[in-house]
Amino acid sequence: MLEIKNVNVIFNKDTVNEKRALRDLSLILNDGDFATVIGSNGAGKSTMLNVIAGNIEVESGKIYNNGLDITYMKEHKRARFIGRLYQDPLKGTAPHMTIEENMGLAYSRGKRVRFGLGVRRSDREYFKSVCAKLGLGLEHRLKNEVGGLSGGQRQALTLLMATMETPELLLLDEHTAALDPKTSKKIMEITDRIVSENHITTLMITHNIRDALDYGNKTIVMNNGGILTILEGEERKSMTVSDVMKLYSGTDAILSDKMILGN
Amino acid sequence: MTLSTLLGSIELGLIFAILSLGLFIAFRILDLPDLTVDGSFVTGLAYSAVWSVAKNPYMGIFMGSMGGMLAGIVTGILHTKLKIHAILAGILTMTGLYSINLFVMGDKPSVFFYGEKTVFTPFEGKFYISGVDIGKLILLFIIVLILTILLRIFLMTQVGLSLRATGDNEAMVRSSSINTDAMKILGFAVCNLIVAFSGAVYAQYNMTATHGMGTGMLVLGLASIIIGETVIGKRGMLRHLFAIVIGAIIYRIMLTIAFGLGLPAIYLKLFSAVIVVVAISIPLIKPTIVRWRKIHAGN
Repeated sequence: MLEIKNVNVIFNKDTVNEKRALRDLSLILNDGDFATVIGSNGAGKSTMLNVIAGNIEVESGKIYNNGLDITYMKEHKRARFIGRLYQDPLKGTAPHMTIEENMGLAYSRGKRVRFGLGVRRSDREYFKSVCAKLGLGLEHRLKNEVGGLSGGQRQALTLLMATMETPELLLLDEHTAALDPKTSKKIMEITDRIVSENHITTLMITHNIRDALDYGNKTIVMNNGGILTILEGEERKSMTVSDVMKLYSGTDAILSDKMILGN
Repeated sequence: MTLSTLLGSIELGLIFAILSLGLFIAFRILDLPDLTVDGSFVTGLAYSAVWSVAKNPYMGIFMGSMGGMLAGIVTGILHTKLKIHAILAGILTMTGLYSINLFVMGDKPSVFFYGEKTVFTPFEGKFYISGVDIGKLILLFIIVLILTILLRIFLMTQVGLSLRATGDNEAMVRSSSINTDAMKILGFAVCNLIVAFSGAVYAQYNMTATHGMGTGMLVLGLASIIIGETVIGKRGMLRHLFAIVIGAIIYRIMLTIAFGLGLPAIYLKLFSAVIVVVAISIPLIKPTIVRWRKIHAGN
């Protein structure tokens, strides 16, 4: 269970560019929840993920993962139980290392440092079988450098690496946005399969409202550093893309009024 | 060039191949050119010399390498924990080492130990090619061979993979729960351990240690790495390591030829610097020529 309590994040504090990126944000995700996150630019979606992953520190508030206070835990320590994908397919893999070497690194996540070989023979068989499940032919290219793969293949590999050792929490930051529509759909399907097979608690940011409603069991609508509403159950099922667009436009009106009145 | 000068330059080439293999860790694996090597090379020289004078050359090699490793750890901590730019961190450690090395050498700018026992002694006077003693060459060859194999294995281990990934995509490594700071410190430590080891071997090879020897060691190492990569290529880790060894030997032979043609010894460092510039620019020149031809084709 992920619990975020009254988190505030302020960028460029005490300067003219001061921006409150998150305002008293609170959120609870139950085990196995697959929540999609939508909201206009600057709503705080990525900031929320960064705060959970640990590369942005909170101004105030608390974050708990399965009851453990991780608010000030270092990024690489959290990575033991948090898997993460970025929008940029180049970010999640080491280009000058082979597929199996990349997977070997990911496979060791959360385990103690061992001094044996990074990729063992038994590992290789396992890597082959998980790659084969993707259906992208990566299983025949284990010894190729990752730099030679396409964006979609790299993103699929990153997804595999992030979930090979089942994480307690999976953070997806528009991980299909940089891909072509067909590949994007394929990666979304793979994501959905992996997440539901392993019951991974997941937060997925997307700008595709259709995807936001189709995948997962909750949709979090964010605005101005806070959560506007959380759609779930029957209400969510009956929602159409244009309904969500109306939610958006409503917020824009509030936003502009606020701006005119000086908050 | 006579056989003995050729073999002599190969011997020196192998010693500096050790240095270049060490620098490879910082420069190619971590992508951080580490200036500490100019100081840690002398640390190796200094310990090696004083222990050889004390009739324990093996201890000299060991202590020298450890000294280098410590220097690397200092640079690593300066860079990762105190957020000092890698190059400046290297310069700071190197500058500090200037005094420490002098202290190790007993406040003398040079230590001579002609006639003392060295690690080469057991190999001397046993193997000959047309009258030239190749004992030192054999020992150096064995050392470089073992080091290359060890490095290859090290870079395949889990720690080695983490080290390589840290230089390749740091953000990714952090999100796979590896402490990148620790990896960088480790990288600097291994780099300078190997560099100091080469210094320790070099001192016993020459039976001298000179305090000013260190200047330009980084550039020399870079020259070997880049020459090797240009000539042999860098596809595959083993090939890359092999390329560096060959690069160091080619560099040394070029130097010997240049001296043979009458290049005064004072131009040694200038020669190294120019070689690095030329070797770096060669891969850039070729596409330019190809492009020029494409544009002017048919005219």
